[in-house]
Amino acid sequence: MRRLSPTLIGAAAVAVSSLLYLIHVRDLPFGEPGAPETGFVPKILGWFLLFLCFLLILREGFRPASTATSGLPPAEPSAPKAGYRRALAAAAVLVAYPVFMTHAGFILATGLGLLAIFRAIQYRSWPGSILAAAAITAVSYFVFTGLLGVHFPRGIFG
Amino acid sequence: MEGLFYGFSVALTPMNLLVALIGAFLGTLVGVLPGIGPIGAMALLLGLTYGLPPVSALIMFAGIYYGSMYGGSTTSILLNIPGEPSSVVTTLDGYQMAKRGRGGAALFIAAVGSFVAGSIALILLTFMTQSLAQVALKFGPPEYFAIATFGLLVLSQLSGQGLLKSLVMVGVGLLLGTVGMDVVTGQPRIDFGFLALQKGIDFVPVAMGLFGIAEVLESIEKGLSEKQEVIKVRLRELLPTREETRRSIGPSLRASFLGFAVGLIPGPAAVISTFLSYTLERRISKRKEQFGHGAPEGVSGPEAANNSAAVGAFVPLLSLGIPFAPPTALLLSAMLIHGVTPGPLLLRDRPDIFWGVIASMYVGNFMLLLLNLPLVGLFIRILQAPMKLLMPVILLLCLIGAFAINNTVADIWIMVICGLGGYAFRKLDFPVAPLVLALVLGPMMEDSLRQSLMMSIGDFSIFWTRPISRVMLLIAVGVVAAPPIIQRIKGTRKAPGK
Repeated sequence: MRRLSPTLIGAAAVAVSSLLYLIHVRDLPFGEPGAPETGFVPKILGWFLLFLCFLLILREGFRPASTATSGLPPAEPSAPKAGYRRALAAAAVLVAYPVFMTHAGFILATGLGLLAIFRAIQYRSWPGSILAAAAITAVSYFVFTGLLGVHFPRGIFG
Repeated sequence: MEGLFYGFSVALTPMNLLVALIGAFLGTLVGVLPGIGPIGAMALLLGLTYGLPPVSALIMFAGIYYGSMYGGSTTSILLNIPGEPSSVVTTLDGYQMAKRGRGGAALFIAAVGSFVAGSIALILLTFMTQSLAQVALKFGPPEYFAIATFGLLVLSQLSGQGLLKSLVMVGVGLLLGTVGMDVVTGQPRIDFGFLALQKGIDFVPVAMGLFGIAEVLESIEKGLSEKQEVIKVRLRELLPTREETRRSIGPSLRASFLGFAVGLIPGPAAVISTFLSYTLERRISKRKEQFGHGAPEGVSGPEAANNSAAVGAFVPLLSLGIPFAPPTALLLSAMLIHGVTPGPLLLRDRPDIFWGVIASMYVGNFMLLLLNLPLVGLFIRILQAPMKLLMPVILLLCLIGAFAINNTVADIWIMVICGLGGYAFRKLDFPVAPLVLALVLGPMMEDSLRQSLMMSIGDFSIFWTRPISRVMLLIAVGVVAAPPIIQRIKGTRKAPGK
């Protein structure tokens, strides 16, 4: 079976997003060319993007299998699965960070977030990771709060 | 010249000299790190300018920009890893020179070539920006819409990953640009139920996510080393031989003009200029066989070209208020954050900023020359820092930087989502530069389009009847349509001889 090309996946994802966008903007007034209203540009853009995605999907779909871009990533030798797992773990920490920061505060969220990433990328040992995470958290808190006056959420310390 | 002298009186105050020095130094420092290019460096360091007065902030930010452009060459020469795409060509001969024990000379040639090109480009910038700004005072909404369309179409054609894919990314950027308040009526719209989105999507967290976070995630995926193997360079080894110097002068001068001209064109000008310069030098050289094996021309030309292109990119930004590439789009954002609107009125309304920033670039360019060579040892030490420690720190700086823009967690969310999106787009081989530029130009384009249509009572021919608008649109259509036509003509010529 022919493998889905990265371009096809990307075009389909953007097409779905532009469809959702068009649904969201459907109630905005369009106006007329002489007096364009709030929805004039968003609606034209949404349909235009959908059309472009359709063209891209069509082009990829009709391209012979040998010339279609296939596999992930296209140009370089594929990264080992462990590489993707590491990136995925770091991404998960990034998603969790704003949630944690809001509720637990900057210090706890940063300390734990850094520790999680250090372990995900296998930075030295557990004690080394804990030490590095604690030191970076302390320095960044001192620099940004103490010197630059940034007010982070205090969370449970507030 | 009067304006430039006034600019020097602004740029040479102790405060502005200090911020130019800090900006140039920090830009170089972050630019040295492999993987963090000029856009990542600028996005990361933008937060440092928040507390400064507008003139000083923009002087510092301009310093960060050209400092980060300088920094990329160090990793190319000593590590064979280009710090940014415009340093890829430098690896070809720079690393070969370093392997032969001429790393110091290669760094010296790159630094002096960049300085010469930066200085020549600044002289061209000084005169060109002023003249263009005078012309731009006559521009109306149709002209601005046409210029922005021209910029996006040309960038899409030059992005290198296919026109259709780039146009899709332009569409995504324009769509994101519509989020938040209506630019004409001020009515809230398209906020997806989130209060934070009512003010629109800030460009800086998007750039940080697409360039900074995505880059770090990709580096983590590829695997990070504990310690980099760097070719060591001693201070006394920095001076090139007489032969190397002689061979570097011509390429630097040629690349200065070539780079500046390319910098005026929308798209990845710095990258294109390096390839053009390398190709030109190789073609006209009597020692073609040495290219790729450590020819000094292969270092001086491309390094001069990318710096000159970086300066050239300031022309449309300062004179028209329109950025043609992501780094200048970030500069535009920095200006807006500090309450400065770039464009033709900048020269009249804020001459201190217009001339101060230009004059500070002369000063900064000289500072970089003085800074970069003696500090080679420091940069090497930074390159030897374990990436497993550096990358999480860069992630943290991105997170803090995004939060510090408006002191809201919403900007962190935007950055994280864009970071994950940027990583996915990289994996799917979609270019992100058109998205970034479209996001910045989107609100201005919508405003210009709607105003133009209101002026013409809905007649779209307004874009055709006005000469400047017509010329820009014709060039844009030509740039988009020409390559497939040329390819087809070539194909039909080849076909009979098969």
